[in-house]
Amino acid sequence: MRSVAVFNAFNVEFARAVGAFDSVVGIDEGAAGANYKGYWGDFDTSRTVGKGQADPNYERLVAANPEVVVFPRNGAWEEAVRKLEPFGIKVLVITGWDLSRHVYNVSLYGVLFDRRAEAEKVNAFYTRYFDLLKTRLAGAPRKRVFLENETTFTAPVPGSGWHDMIETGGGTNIFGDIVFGSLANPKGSVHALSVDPEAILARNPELVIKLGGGGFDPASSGNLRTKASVVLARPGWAGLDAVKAGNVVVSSSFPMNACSKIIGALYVAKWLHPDRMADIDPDAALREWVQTFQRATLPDVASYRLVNQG
Amino acid sequence: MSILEQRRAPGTDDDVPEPERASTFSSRPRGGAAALTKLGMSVVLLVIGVVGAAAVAASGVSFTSAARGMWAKALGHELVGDALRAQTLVWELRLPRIALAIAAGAGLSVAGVVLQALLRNPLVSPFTLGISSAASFGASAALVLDGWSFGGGQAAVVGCAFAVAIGCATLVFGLASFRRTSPEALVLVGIAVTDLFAALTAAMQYLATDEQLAEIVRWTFGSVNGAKWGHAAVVGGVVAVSVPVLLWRASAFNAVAFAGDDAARSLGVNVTALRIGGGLVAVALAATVVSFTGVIGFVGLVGPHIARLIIGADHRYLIPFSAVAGAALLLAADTIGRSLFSPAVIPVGIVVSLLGAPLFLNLVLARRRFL
Repeated sequence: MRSVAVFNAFNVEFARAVGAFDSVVGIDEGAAGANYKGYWGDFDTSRTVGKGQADPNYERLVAANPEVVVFPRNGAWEEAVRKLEPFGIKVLVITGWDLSRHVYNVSLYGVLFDRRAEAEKVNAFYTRYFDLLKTRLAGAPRKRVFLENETTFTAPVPGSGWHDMIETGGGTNIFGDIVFGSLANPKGSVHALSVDPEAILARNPELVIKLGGGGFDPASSGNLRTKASVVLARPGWAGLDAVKAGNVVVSSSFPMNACSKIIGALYVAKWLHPDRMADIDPDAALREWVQTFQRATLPDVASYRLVNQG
Repeated sequence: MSILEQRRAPGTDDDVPEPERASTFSSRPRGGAAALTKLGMSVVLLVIGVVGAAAVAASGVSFTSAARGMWAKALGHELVGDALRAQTLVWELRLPRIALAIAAGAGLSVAGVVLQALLRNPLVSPFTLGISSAASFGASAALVLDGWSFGGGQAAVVGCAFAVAIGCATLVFGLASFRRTSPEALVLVGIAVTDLFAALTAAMQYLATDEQLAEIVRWTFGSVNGAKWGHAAVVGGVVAVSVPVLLWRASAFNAVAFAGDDAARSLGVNVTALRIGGGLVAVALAATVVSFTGVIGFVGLVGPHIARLIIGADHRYLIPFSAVAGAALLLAADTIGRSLFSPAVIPVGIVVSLLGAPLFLNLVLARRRFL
């Protein structure tokens, strides 16, 4: 495959990680926008092929003339199949944010771009940490985690990569009992389902992760300190185990998302089980992912998050 | 003809026998004692509804145990453990959302009834004049410009929504006054302004990141999920100040609504001042509510109609009854929204339409005279 248009930053990262970035002829605005300023090197981000994975620009897609367009499964791939078929452009669904399918997805990239060796290296990186987490967390008591998306009082539920990240990191998602549906849409989704604030207090998380938005550019994550103070001032939150123990983290999404969220799972494990992860440095793993596989320069990692504001 | 100095031409509603008039004003004012009885009963039912809503829990904490905790705290006892948790859950989370739902529903409904009377149009709601759309734009702009980053947080969103909504209403009423437009033209201006702000909001959504877009969408659904006592106090305070002021002018609203501007003037009503003053109060009510809750669009239209069908068109009773009807509608919607798939929450703006539309249809079909 010589030319591909890619929706969703996770999928674009895969293309670059397997050394096929020069085959990418178009990415979406979500990946190319301000949140990822400086991340894609010399790649021309001025002309995108759509607002986002749910809103492709078909004229630009056809003009870019890729052989294949890659969407995540929560993108507009069904519509794209119909629209692009007359132009002979194929649509492929690869969900880069799906932690549980990382190896399959990256291997597929390796086959598509004939970059099998590079794909194996990426998978080895992922598997190293996936296996490490399984080993280190074996027998560890699972701890209650509340992850709040950028939107207030929303939480991921099963079906979301965030849920998988928490569970892989040795936690239990306090809203893991909600079965919402198989797929997402932007108005109510497995990634950010509106939940009753009362239920958060009742389920009393031991770790709270508040996503502060943003991407590679730390400035795009906004004022983390303001967000932390808003979260901590919520009624009744002073009594949460997470707050009392100082286990409240406000973080940009970027480090948590890295490599299908396996780096995020490392962070979760480190915060939940510091004794079992004492010699593991998630920041170093993030640095390796960004600098080795993405060939980008990582800003100061500390600027992505605030920890222990309790 | 100006809306502020309207003269009704022969052949318009003023010459039509009352039962054949437009639906808003078709019900004759009813006896005071009966209306007061209904009003009293409705308040009792609302109180029962509040207790019922307070008993609905996503947390497993019953209202009874929380009430015991609150009583103990009131007596000066220090709460610990489960008692403290129960008291916090109910006092800090459940009751503020109930209070905000009641205040917001009352405010929107009262705003609707006043605007329907002033503009003599049963299809008018606080949002017909573009208030909702403008508030959405204000909130969207604050979110896209990242209200968090300049330290304002939610205050920035609320402030921008309120400011743009008030600005929009001032623009609409200013144009009406300046161009001396008719009530019908005012409604058309409102629709145009609504579309304008809807387009601007769509533009903001296009500029927004995924996170900002999600927040904008959530805001446009309307919600009391993040209610705090402070929110309920502000909205409730505005309602508490507005309703007596509007009640004081209830007879004047009756005169304009039933008899038209000329007859109202002959009865000593300063129609111009009434439209400006009443309009401003209604707009301030709606803008305040929407700024805190997001867009809840159905209550302001249907709350007054439900009230009118039950208690009649006399604004001395209609205004307070509309407040109760709107409060009950929003309270029921929020209670259903947070209990149906608990602990997941369906935004109240969605539920209120799903709940209110069949209720309204039932009332309309049960009383054909309304048609």
